[in-house]
Amino acid sequence: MGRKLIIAAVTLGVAFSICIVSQKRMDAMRSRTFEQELLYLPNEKLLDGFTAGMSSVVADLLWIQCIQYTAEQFRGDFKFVWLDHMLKTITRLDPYFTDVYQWGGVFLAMLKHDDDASINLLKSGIPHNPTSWQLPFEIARTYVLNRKDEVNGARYMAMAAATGDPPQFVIDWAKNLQQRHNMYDVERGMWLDIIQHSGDESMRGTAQRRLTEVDLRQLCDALTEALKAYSTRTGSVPASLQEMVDSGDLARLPEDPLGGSFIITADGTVLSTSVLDTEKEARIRLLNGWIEKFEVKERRLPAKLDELITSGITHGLPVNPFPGAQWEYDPATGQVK
Amino acid sequence: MRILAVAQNTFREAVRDKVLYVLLFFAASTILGSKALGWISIGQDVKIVKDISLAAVSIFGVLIAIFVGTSLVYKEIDKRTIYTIICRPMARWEFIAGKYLGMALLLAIVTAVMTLVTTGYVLSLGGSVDATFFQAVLLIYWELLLITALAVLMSSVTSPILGALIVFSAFVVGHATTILIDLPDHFKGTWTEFVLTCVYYVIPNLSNFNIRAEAANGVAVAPAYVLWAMAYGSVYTIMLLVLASLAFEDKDV
Repeated sequence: MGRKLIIAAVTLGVAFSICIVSQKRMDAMRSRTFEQELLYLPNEKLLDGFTAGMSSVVADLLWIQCIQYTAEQFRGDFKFVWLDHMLKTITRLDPYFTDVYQWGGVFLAMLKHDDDASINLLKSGIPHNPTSWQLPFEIARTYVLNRKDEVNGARYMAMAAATGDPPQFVIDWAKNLQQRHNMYDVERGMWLDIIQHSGDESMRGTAQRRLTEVDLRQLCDALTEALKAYSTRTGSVPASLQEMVDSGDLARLPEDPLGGSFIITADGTVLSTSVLDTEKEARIRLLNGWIEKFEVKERRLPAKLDELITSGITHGLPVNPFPGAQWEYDPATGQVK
Repeated sequence: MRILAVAQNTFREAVRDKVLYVLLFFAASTILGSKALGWISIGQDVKIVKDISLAAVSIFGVLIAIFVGTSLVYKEIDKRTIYTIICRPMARWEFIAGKYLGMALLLAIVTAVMTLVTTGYVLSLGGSVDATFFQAVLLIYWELLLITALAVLMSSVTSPILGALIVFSAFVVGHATTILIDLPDHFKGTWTEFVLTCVYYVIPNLSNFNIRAEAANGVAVAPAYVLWAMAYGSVYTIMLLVLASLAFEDKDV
């Protein structure tokens, strides 16, 4: 019995070694580059029809091949000829695969230096992924960094800042670009377009609120200018807007259609509480998302918000947009207020 | 009562089938092995695991439905055990309905087990599963019910091997029916377009049950869509079972 087992094991070992050797030989004889393999990548429409419902899995496999192709080209001749075709095929097979749009956009813009292809790919993903801030953000980045076109960059950065749960730096970048290019009309047009053409009721509701917030932000800018004139003349910052009405610098107290009020910061800037509320909610959602990630990673809730930084979840915490206000964090429930 | 007795017996018989366990083993291996592909992605591990796991639930469910389903009636005739059943006061359609219900129960349990394994695996990898994930599983099960009905029909009219080939072809073609109506412009208004449109409506469109991409990417699906897809699947299933009953009614056993 023991002898038979040894003979069988040796036979299997020899047979397996022969298999490996012959496989290596065949691989060497049939070795094709990625370029040659991609010549056989079928039309994405055809691929979609004949994957027997496995289009999402095929998209995953193609995405892995796309990463390998990009790495090979990066180390090789740096041409990326087939990159665009691969990315289009993958996004056609799985239109909700946001990472492919995002990373594909980066590969096309930064490695292949094909801005048009990058922007087109990212734009094609927005209707399928309307809550993904990364797609308009990458478009904005391509406009600003590659094309030095800050006007279009500001348009898409505003869209990124108002989409999903963008991190603080996106909101700040959008605000800076908008202020530099007085983009209120462009932003207003963008929201009006969504109100008129979006089939999603909640998207239209959000766009309506954002449209009112654009008016409020513009009003705050005008009030801040009037306040600066008042301060220059009187040598002091008014405690409330009523003081400016009483002095005749304002015809009447402005109204907030969203039910909020106007506050004056110590440096003389007028802010709308409705706009601040929206910013605060977005930042709270972001913080709560990080806390959830922390809980999954560490199997406990953070004792303090600073632990989100020390654990590597984020590089920095967003500030409470209300001047002087701090986040209220409950370590027992893991919720930020 | 008679239908339930046949269903119970069919379930017991199917559970004893070794093919079921071989397929379940491969399904579990595919689900647990899917992480290997995630390693070579750029942080899309959980999405890839969800995709492959849902595909495994679907494809192995279909294979079980085909291999077990296409031999359901044929085996009874071949082994002549059918005589002990049809000599009893039982209509032939009741026999078909019982066979089908037994398979439906088996598939429900198999789908539930595979979903449980997938959910546990995704959670252990730090991912999460939402309502769309379970909607996707529900529609996979509904698709399996339709495939099983087709398998039972084939089992009543042909041999298991030919039946398995026809059902598997129907599964592949059922996911590609949209190409029948996605024609180039020069086909507009022609007889070809008319015939292909008719074929499009006759072949069950199995892509209606495919919301796996949405589930893997966490995109919400309207509950009304799921209900429509279930209604569509139920009607086709009933039609196929009626055809299976009619075919078996006239069969000389």
